[in-house]
Amino acid sequence: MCPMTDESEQRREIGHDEYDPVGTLALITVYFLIIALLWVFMYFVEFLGNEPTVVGTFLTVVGLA
Amino acid sequence: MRISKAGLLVVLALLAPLLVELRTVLSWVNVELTVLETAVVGAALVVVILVWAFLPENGDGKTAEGDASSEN
Amino acid sequence: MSNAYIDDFPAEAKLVRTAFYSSFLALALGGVFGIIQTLHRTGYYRFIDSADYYTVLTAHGVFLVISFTIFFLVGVFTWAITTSLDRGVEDLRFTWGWYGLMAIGITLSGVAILAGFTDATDISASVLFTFYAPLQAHPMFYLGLVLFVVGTWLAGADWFRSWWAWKQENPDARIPLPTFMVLTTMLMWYIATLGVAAAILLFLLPWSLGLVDSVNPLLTRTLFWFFGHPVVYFWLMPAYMMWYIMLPKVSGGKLFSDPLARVVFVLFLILSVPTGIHHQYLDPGIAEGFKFIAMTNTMFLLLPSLLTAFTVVASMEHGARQRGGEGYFGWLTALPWRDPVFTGMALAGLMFAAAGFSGMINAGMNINYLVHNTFWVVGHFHLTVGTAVALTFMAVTYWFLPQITGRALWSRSVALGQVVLWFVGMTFMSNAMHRGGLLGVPRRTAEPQYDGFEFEAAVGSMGELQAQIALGGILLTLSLVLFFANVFGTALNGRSDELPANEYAGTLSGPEDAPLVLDNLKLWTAIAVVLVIFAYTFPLLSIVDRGGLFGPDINPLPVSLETVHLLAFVLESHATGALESIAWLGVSR
Repeated sequence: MCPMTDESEQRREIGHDEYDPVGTLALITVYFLIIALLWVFMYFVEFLGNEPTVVGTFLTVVGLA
Repeated sequence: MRISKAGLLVVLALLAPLLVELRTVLSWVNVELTVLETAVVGAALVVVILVWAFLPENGDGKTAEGDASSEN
Repeated sequence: MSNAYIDDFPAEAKLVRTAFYSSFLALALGGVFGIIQTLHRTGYYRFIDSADYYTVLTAHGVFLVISFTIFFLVGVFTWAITTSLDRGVEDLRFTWGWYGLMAIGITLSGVAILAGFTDATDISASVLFTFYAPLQAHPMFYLGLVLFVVGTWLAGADWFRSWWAWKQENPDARIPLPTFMVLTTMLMWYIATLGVAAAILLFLLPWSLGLVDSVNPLLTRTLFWFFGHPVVYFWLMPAYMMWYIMLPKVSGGKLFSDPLARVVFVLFLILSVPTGIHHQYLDPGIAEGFKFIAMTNTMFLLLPSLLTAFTVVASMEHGARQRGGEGYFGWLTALPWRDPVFTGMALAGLMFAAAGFSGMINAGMNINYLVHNTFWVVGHFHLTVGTAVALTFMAVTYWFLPQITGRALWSRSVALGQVVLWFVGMTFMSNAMHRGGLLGVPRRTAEPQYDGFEFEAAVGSMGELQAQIALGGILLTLSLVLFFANVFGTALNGRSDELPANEYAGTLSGPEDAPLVLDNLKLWTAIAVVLVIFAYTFPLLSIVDRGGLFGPDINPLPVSLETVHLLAFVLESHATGALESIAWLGVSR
């Protein structure tokens, strides 16, 4: 059986001051763009794709039951 | 190999959500795929990725990542 | 000789191991009920009576979100306290005492639920995890839950006791990060469980015992959600802890920022509880304004999760760059994908990012109307508790098992296959659930099919969605089988002397950079209590004012067929009336 993690694969030591997380920035930007696009998409799917939501009538029904 | 076996597995897994939602995206440009057609597209993509992954490296590619060590 | 947890803390390792095995037992049971209901709902294989579906659903919910998650949590938290304070528990008998209380409690509740399958007793508790009145369970179910929750309270007391003892010896030291996470989470839990304790002890249990005639359903619902939303953070916090203190280490790096991690846990302590009403956007009897306050608090809760996304990804990137990763996206290939502990947690985090979006939809008051009580919500929480939490737990199990058993993991390859299979299965299942919800498919329904009405899918068809759900459910079940194979295989392995040491991640920016005020637990607890008072006093007062403490007379519903027929008749007559009035509206336009 091999050990769970192999620490020997570390090739260099990066300290607090040298580390610049640009990859994180890139990834979070992609996530933000996806979220923003989905938000726009939601408007079309949820609102233009459905009839108006009738809330009041059903609430009375629940209230009666 | 151009990618570790584990990396390949994860890439193939990530293909699943893309394929599942591919139909929705395509329907926006009026391309309607059936399940069978989606499956064919998926299989084709898997083959492309596998071929790419197993092509011998011609020197310019990176070496396979560190964890390509022996599979148990 | 290795430096595994079991070598340093053999007695505590036994407790953690027992808690984990209890949690896995619940996972196995919950998984079995999961596949039964998946196949039943989608219509592929129905071998149980549809009336029993709700018993299955209750068992699936309670075993997975109460026993599986919380037993795992107490194991992880005990490990975190003992490891980070570097001291054993103060009194082992006390520790086993709270474990025993939890085990007895959940056994009572579990037996009450499972008894619903047989007519031999009149015990049943098919009230679903949310146990709303007028659904009524046998008193044993409520009593079991009370004992279980009291067990978790004592567990928290145990961890606080360790911290106080440690503080006597280290008066000027900062609280170690894992301990800080445990303490803030438990403070949140103490506040949150007050709601469910009140709901059960003051109302549901006396009602079930026949001491009071009726309850105010809206009041007990509101008290349930007072607990019901923060409980999701109780599931999530151990997973967050693993993302903060284990993921950086298995990625080959360090935690990006200790202060940021503390800020996140403080925000969860403050904001988790005063949000529960966002589960009740469609409840009549709660004014819009109160719902709006709950929505605002909920949107603030996105902040700690987005902070986590940043910190955790930055810590992974640090590991990847130390392993030689380059570029804006190229570093991703330098991550240790071969390691199931890493891959499982990374995929769980990715799913959680997707769940963040569906969560925002749920949280928005107006958009919520479109998905409320639909299958969408089920899709959402299978991404959060079903993947972000469950997959993280299963992934770290592969690290914990050798630590607490002293035996090497049976197979890393099977483990890797297991976590990837969970991801793929959940992709299929959860995606189709979300889509079904958009079409209006209801949740908590044995047979979501109706005469003379068909759900219409914009892309594809309803049948395809059902197939996708069934396929996902089968893949998830297979994944569970692989998981248990590994748990058993590891338990059968011999003792190993070459285990990795019991360590968690170091930090790039350590506690010395964190403002001292962050460790002032009294201050944060006080703020949390004040926010709860703001968010809940007036809604609760107005609910009691309108409906009375014990409500108008309502009929309890232990689910039996006569009451189902009666209910069906009542619902049908009301529905006909409603349809007529809608038709009238249409005519008058």
